[in-house]
Amino acid sequence: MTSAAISGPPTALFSPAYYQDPYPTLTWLQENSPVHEFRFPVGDVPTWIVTRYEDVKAVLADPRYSAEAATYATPEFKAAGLVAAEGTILERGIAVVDPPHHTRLRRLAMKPFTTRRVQEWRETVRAIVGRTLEDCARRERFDVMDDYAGEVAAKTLGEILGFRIERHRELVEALNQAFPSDPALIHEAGPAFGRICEYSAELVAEKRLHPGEDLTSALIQTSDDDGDRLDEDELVGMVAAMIMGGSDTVRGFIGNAVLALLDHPDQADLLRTSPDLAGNAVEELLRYDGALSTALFRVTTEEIELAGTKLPAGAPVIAGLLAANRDPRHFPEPERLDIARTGKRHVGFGHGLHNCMGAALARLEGEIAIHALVERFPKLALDVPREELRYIDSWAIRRLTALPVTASGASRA
Amino acid sequence: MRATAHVDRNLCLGAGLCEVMASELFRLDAEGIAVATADASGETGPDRLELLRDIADCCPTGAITVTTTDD
Repeated sequence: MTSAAISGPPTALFSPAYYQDPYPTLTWLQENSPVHEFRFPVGDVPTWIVTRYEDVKAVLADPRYSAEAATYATPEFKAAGLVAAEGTILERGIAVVDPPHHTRLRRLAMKPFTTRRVQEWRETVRAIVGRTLEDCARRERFDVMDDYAGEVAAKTLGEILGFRIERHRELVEALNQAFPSDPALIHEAGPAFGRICEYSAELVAEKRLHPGEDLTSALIQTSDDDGDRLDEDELVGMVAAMIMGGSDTVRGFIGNAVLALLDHPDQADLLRTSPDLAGNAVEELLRYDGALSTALFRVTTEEIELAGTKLPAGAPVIAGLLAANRDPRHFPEPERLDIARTGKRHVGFGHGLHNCMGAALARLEGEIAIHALVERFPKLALDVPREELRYIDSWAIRRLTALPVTASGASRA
Repeated sequence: MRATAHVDRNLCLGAGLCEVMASELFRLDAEGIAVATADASGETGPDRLELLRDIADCCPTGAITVTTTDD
């Protein structure tokens, strides 16, 4: 689009200023360049970002936008080190393979994650949230990210997968290194994926010896009607995918949700007085400011025309999930937080084949943790000036670095 | 063999996996919720049945059930 060449978005895509507030840029793109070509900061690779709801859904529902960058990406993309987890078993992990391989992996692993099965973990999550809240109450001043959301996400994942909590921090660190936004740090991505796989392999080995009630043990046992099972690499890859998908994302989401409620005290009051709205509130909070900024890279398998823009074969395409969820073409008054909002489906968990497998668990954690916090601390308030809050430098994950609060509302801010 | 695919509209959250896997068998309606098409039920060969079961097993909400009758 010529208008994009003349003036640009308010902040450059995937720049430090963009991470602090991506919405003005995303809105500008929706209006002026809905299928927008830019240079990805790592490797300076030509990349397209899609920001309108309909286009995001269309990309994620079309098999010609492959998740297999290792197969379809250009040599330039590969040379930049952008094929996620290249050289590790995660290179063939569930998030980055197409059918039929994807179908087989998902079939074997999906069962424990369905809405109904996840309800079995409700009491576990409730107990973890209850204990964590008491710790926060004793502190009076605490950081929602580290002391609450991070604890709830890590303990839940640890309990469900059956691993020891001490390992969690190093795993989160590895995770942040696996998806660097700073081009200078791309060389750390491979070893970081390696460390996650290594830990996952240890966990699988331990659970083979000492099976428990956890999901890792269940995945080792799982087989379909024909006796098909996950092999060792697939098992390790699946557990690693769960570690990567289920920790920092949940933490990020709870943090974004709590901040949204602090920014909208009327909505926090409504949630407190109407616990029946907890489930609906989670959907609206996921729409309003979810933890996934974008889906993982898709790569075109052939030349495709999308909303009037021609994409060459091998084009890296980024589906903007935050943008789609604020598209006024789809959501009336998208900037308004309304926990009673109904009807339109958000794409906070992605869409299509690779929609989040852990969505039901994330919803359960969010529903319990967010409601419990506002109920336990009706006077909860920010403990720093609002403008001091910062987001991590990540193009894929939207997460606050810290969210200091005071339970009694007696703020130093 | 006859197969019948059914989507529980109370469970479905419109993730769209079924429509991507087989748009002739499942569609998202105007509300974004999945419905099984007329083709998803009726006389079924082994390949079609396997596909229906694949889709039901991959659904993130467990909203799809496939039942079969011999005749």
